[in-house]
Amino acid sequence: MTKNEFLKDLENELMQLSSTVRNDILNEYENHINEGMEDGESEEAAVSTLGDPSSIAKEILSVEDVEERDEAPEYVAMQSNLMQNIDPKEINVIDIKGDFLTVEIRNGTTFEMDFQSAGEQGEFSHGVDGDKLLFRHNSKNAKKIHFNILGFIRNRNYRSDKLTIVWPETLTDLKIRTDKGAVTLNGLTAKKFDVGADLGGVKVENIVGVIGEFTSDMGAVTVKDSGFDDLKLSTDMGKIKVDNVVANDQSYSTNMGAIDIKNAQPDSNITAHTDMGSINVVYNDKPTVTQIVANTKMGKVLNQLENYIVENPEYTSRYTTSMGSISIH
Amino acid sequence: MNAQFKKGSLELCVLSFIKREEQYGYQLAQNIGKYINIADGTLYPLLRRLVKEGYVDSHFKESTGGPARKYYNLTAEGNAHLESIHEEWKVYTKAVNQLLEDTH
Repeated sequence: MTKNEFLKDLENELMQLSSTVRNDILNEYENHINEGMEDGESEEAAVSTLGDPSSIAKEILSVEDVEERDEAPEYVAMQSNLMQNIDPKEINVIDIKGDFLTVEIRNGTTFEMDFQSAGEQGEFSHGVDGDKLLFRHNSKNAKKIHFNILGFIRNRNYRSDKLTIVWPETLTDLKIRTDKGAVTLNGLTAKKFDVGADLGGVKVENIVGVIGEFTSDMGAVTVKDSGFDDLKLSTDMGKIKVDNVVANDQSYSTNMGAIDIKNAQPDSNITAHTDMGSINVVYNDKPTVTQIVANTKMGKVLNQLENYIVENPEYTSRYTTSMGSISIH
Repeated sequence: MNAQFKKGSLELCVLSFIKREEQYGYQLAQNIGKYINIADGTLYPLLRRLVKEGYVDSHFKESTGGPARKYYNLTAEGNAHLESIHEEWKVYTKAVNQLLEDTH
């Protein structure tokens, strides 16, 4: 076995160690082999006096293991703010699931994490699984209170626990599911956003992403000053508000709420549909390669861009409502 | 030679040499090799463990015409530990030798 073969074999078996520790160890073995060769031994002989890389790796791991276990437990029970085990640069995915949980994530220079319980001491745990940072939340509140929609909307006493994160890096995936609680995102960049708040609203500002899906059953969904390739907003009863959003494909749907789009991107595929609400769209500029289509079964349509015929549209923006009115400027 | 014997006594051998003179890994391997045949590679995990346990300290010293070498020296705790396991060794080997004499 050559020196490089030995070192490569040994390195491969020590990957679970930190690179500092691993390199320190590999250097010692390399120096040992070099010393042997300087003493007149052949490379093969110098390497063979060391023994078999696998057995050596096993012994090293059993020595290093003791210290690793003491220093870095993987899962930490809240309520504590043990952030030193988490390196944002190594995290690509954040996945949050809670029942009575308000989530606020904003951009910042250093990683911060804060959990505040609304008094009922919900069970909150977080952990790191490879490149994923996971948060799981169970509120004792949720089990005690009988929920009805009006009660939630009226009653400020139904306070949720709150998770606040300041995140300095970008992500590949951000996934949030909360039953009762609002979600606020500001200044984040990720490939895919998948956010669902059942009863609370979703408010998104200064976000950059490839795919964005923001859903709320009862609450409003608001997206402002953001850019995506593909953006999808949906709410059953809430209102959809979009302001200064740039995206090639935009899909907005609400059953009972209104859709309000300001500073709309003139050339893009916007599909907006509401059953009972109204649609109001104001464009920055006149579309050049987009066909605008508006349809309502029972309401009025005021389309100031109606007579604006486009020859070969690249995009189609389609606005439909069953019972509401549509107004496009 | 029996692997169990070697494993059990290697710590005693390593600490004994390091007590006599601080040395780097290759040097230690050569010294021990004069008496018993070991796989040199097993010395480094052992040395790492001894450092973690506080019995041994390490430091780098420049060498002429080569990379810095990591030298190992005995700490006060290491010295006390060596005396203790040396004593145990003497007592234990005396007892085993006696047993062999009595049974053969």
